[in-house]
Amino acid sequence: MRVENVVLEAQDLEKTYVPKGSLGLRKAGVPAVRGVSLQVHAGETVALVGESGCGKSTTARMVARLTDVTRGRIVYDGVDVTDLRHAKMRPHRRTVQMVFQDSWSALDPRMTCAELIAEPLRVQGAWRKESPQLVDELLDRVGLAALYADRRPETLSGGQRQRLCIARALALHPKVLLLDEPVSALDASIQAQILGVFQDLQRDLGIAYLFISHDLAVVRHLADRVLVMNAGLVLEEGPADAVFQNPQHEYTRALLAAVPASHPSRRHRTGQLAS
Amino acid sequence: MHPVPAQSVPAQSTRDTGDVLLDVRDLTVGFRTPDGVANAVDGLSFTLRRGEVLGFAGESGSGKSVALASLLGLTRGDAAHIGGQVRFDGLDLVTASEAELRAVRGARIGMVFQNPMTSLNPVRRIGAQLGDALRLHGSRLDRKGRRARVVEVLDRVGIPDAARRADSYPHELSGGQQQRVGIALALMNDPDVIIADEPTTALDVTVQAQILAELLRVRDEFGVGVIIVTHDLGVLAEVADRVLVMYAGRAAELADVAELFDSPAHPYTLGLRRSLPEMGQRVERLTAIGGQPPVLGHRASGCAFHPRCPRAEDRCSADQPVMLAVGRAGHLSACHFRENPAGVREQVEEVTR
Repeated sequence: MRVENVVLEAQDLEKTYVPKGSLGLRKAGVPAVRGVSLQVHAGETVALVGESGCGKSTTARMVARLTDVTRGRIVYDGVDVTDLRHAKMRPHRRTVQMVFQDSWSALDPRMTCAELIAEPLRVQGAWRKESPQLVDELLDRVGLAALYADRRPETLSGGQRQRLCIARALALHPKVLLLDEPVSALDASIQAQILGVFQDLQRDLGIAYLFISHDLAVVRHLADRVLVMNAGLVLEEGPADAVFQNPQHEYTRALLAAVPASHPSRRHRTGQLAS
Repeated sequence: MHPVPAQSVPAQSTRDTGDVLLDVRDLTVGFRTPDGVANAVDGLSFTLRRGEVLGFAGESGSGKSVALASLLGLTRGDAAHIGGQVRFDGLDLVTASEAELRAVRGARIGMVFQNPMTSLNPVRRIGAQLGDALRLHGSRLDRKGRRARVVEVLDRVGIPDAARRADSYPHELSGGQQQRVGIALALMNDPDVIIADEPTTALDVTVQAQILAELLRVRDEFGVGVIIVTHDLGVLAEVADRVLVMYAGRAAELADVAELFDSPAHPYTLGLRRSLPEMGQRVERLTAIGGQPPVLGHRASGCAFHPRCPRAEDRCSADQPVMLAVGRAGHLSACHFRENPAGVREQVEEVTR
C-alpha cells in the first residue's frame, strides 16, 4: 500500500443521529454510518456507491467536515482534522474541496462567475495581485470561455454551472475533490462532457476524487477503486474491475443485476428481479 | 412479490402487436415566450398499438413530456396553440370538449408520473383515493364494491397485504410501493393506454427493476398500450418494443428497439448512445455531444441538431429534414443523410474520435 501518498483517510467513521424526544428527552439514536474506513491516494478515484439512505452522503459530509463524527478519525494529508473547528479547520479546507449535485443552490446568484471563483481565495486570505489571471485560467481549464467571467449563474445552463462549481473548487489547489452525485442532474450528452472534464483535471493536475454516486455505469467509467455501501456499512470494496466483474457480496450482485441492459439483446434482468 | 410470467420478457422485439390505439398526426404545441410563440412540440406523428411499449427518449427540453401531456389536453391552459390530431377511439383529443376529455383521462388513458407523492393526497388513505378514481368515472359499484376493486388492483400491482395497505397513508409506503400505487391508480378503470412519464427516475436501481417488471406484467395481463418517457436509454433497452427519439420538439428517429441500438440512423441517436457509459465495456473516454441542447424559442434553422452534428453540411442549416424511411420497415429518421446510415455512423465516429 502506498501509505506515503494517502491524501485523505477516514478511520472507522460512525454517525448516529439522535432525534429529540418530547420534553427534551433523548431517544435512542439512529445509526446512519457504521464503521466506515477509506483511504484516497494522490491522483486516484475512489467511488462510494449505494442506494438512497445507505449512508454514502453522510460519509461524504463527515469527510468534508460539514457534519461532526460520532466516532472515528478524519485525516487530511497526514493531519488529523477530526476535532478542528472554525478558524483552526480553515487552512485544511484547502486540501479537500467539494462539488455538489445541485449547482443551482451551490452558487450565489448575485455574484458573477469571476467573483464566485475568487470567493474561496478571498475567504482563505489567498487573494493576490496575480489572482485575476488564475481566475481566467480556471475558467479556461473547465471549458468556460473568459467571456463568461462577468455573467451570473442564472444565465448559464446546468452543465455550464457545474463547470463553474468545479472551477471554484479548484481555486485553492486541493489535493482531493469530493464529488457528491456531480453529474446526476445533467442530461446524458452534458454528463459525458463533465466526466471528460474530471478526467482531464486528474491527468493534468494529479488530483484525487472521492466520487459519490448511485449511478453504477458512471462509477464503472471513472473509478479506480469502489466501496459498496448498504445500511451504513461498507459491504464490499476493491479495485473497480474486480468489484464489477467478480462481485463477492450478494448485495453487490443484486445491485449490478438491477442495472438496465445496455442493449435490448441483453434484457432479462427486469423479470428476474421482480420476484 | 409476484412472480413474473415468462412471457413478460419478449423473445424478440417484433411482438405481435394489435390494432392502433392512438394515432397522433402532426401534433404541435406552442407556448408564448418573450420573443413570440415558440413550438415546444413541432409536427410530431406516431402511433401506439395495443400490447406495445413505445419508448420516448430525449434530453430535457426535447418536448417529450409536453407532447404526452398534450395528448390528454393537460397543456390547454398554458399553451398558446395546440394543432394536429390525436385520434383515440373515434375521438380527436385535440378538439374534444373538456367533458369528452374527462371521460378519457384517468379512465381510458391512465397516467403514471415521476413522483407518486405529488399525485397522491398526503392526508387521505390510499384506498379512498383509488376509490375516487372509480367514482369520478361513473362506476356503479357501491362502497363495498369499490373497496373490493381497490384491494384487487393493489394486489395486482404487487402490494403485499393489500387489504390492510389500502388503509395506509401515502407517506407510510416506501418509494417503490408509492409508485405501485401510482400504477394502480392508472389501472383502476381498465384503461387501453398507460402513459408513464419518467416512472422510475426517482427510484433506486433495484426498485426500478421491480417497477419496470410490473409495467411489463400489466401490459401482458391487461393488453394495454404503454408509452414510457425516459431520459435513460437503458430503461428503453430493457422494456421498449419501439423507440421514438425526440430533439428540439421534433421526432429525430423512430425504430424497433433492437434496430435503434444496432443501427441508429440519426447522428443525434448515435451521439446519445456514445455519450452513455456502459457497464459491459469500459472505454477510456466517452464521446460527448458538443454544445448545448436547444432552448425553447432558440432553435437552430434547418435541422435543429446541425450546430452539434459532426455530419452537418450546408444544407442542414437551410432545409429542415422530415421523417422518412431508412430501410427496414418502420424505421424512420429525420436526417438528410438517412439514405446511408452506415456512412453517417462511420463519419460521426471519424469526426469525434
